[in-house]
Amino acid sequence: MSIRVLVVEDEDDLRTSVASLLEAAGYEVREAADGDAALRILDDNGVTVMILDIRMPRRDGIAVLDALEKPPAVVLVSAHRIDDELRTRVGPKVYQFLHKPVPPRQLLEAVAGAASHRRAP
Amino acid sequence: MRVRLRPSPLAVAMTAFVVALGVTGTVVTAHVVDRQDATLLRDDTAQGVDYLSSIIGQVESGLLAMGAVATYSDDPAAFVSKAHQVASGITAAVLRRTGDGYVVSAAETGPLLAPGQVIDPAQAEAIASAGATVVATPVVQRGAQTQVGFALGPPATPPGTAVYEVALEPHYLPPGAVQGFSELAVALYAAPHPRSDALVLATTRELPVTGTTVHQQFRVGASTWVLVASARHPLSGTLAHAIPWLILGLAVLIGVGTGLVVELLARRNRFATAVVERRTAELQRTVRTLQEAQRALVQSERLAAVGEMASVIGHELRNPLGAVMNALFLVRNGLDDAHAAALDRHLSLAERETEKAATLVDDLRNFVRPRAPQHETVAVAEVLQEVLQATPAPAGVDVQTDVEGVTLAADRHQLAEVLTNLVSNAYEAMADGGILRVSACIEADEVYITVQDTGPGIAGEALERIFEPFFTTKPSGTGLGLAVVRRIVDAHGGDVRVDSTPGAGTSAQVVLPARVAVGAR
Repeated sequence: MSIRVLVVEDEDDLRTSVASLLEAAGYEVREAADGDAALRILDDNGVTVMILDIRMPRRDGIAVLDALEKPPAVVLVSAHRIDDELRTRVGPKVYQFLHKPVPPRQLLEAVAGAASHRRAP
Repeated sequence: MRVRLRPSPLAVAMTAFVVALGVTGTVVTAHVVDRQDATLLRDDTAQGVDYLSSIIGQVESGLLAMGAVATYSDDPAAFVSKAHQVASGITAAVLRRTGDGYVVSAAETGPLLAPGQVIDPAQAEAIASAGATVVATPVVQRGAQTQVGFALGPPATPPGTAVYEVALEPHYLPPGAVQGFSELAVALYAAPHPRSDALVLATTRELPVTGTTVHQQFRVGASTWVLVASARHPLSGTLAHAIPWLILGLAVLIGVGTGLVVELLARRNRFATAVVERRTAELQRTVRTLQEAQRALVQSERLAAVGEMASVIGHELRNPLGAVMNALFLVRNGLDDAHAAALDRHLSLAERETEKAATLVDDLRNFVRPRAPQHETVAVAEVLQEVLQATPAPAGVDVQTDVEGVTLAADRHQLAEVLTNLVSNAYEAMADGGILRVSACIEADEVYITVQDTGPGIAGEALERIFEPFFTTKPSGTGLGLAVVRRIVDAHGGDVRVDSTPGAGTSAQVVLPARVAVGAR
């Protein structure tokens, strides 16, 4: 059974390219264009890894994290500097923080790490 | 302000001028007073002479009266009676001529002559020359007394006779004893010039009369006598004589006073000028400081605006860049070997350039949204070691460090960023090899970190602009490294400067407070 990765990103082209990248790497990919959609998918799908953009319309990435008691392994991606306060607040629910633009190799490594982290415990 | 003891030339000149005026006034006044004195002395002397002349006149008229009695009466009693009448208390006699001399006839009065007495030849000679005009006989000094005599001869007397009047007077008369001489010291001589043996009388014991004297000659019958006079005290008054000295004293007082006032004003003026100059200099400094502050503000606002725009653009580029990077990755992985070989060059270029663009947006993020420093105690040596490990030296570059033992309160990550930027710049300047020297020291609560290279150096024009964002001299630089360094150093309350000698290398020095300044976060 392949690992399911949810890509939450409001920018269509970027989301599509990330999805393609992950699919090419053998992951099963779900896509969400905003936080609400992400929560809906998470409700009824066995998502192992979530690539989550912080800044999005309607419900943003942080609100998604706040809404989840037991989130999947999260790779949090931001266009902005992630300050220490935010890092401290959401740190326990995040496997890895990444800054945009994320080089493809780095992203694949992060997802692979997150997947093994989730399966291990 | 230093106290100047030397008076101003103007004050000295004013004092000298007023004192000179006073001296001139004193000299002129003294001269006028002296002239007044001389005039008064002459007048008083003339009055004295007039008085003496009137006495001589009385003597003459007395003698004439006695001569008339002798002419018209042979009675000695009549002569004596007349003599008592016209010249009371005086020795007078009728003389009878005998050969060359004279003998006192019976008609005589007073103790100085006696009947039958032969007259002294010197007197007799003078008496012989007497006619109707009275003749004074030579004076004879008898101790403190002087004997003076006057004679008349024919036709005022019978032929062969003479009327002779002689008196023995003390030659010192106290002042005031003689009318008109009370204010004068006088000496009367029975000669045209003062001669001690001819002294008739004096109102002073100090002879000859000294000081400012007046010699006035006057006729006594056929003889010329002289009266010598000088003033006992200033005739124009003591006050008049004091006036020149009063003038001089006043002039000195006024002169010194004027000098003091002028000096005071000059000093006040100098003081005021100095104050104005000092204030002007302060104002100029303030204006310069304000201008510099304004320039800095304008510059920082300009940079902030540039940064804001760059931030927006950079942010908007992140997603497209990410998509392109992913797409390139997929293209490369999706190509079969034949195509991959053909397209590798182009793909590599696209990957390289997108990475460069990614680096630029990363730098922009650091530049535009600096984090407030999180101070902790940092050992420079530790941070430098991490930086040197993360940024390996290019081939041919020798690294020398001297930073042991220097610690400071700073944001560890930001200090690392600063050192990374400075070390990277140094490495890039020494593509053909060289020496990197990093040193640190602490002095007066400030930490100096110096990063030095032996590269080609930076020309003056470029050196002035190296802290501007997006200014770069390197083909692949973003121009944000040193701008970020300055941002971080400023946030720490420190300073950074870069010195360069073209051909010899560049030295960047960062100065940071060793401890967190009061009020800093």
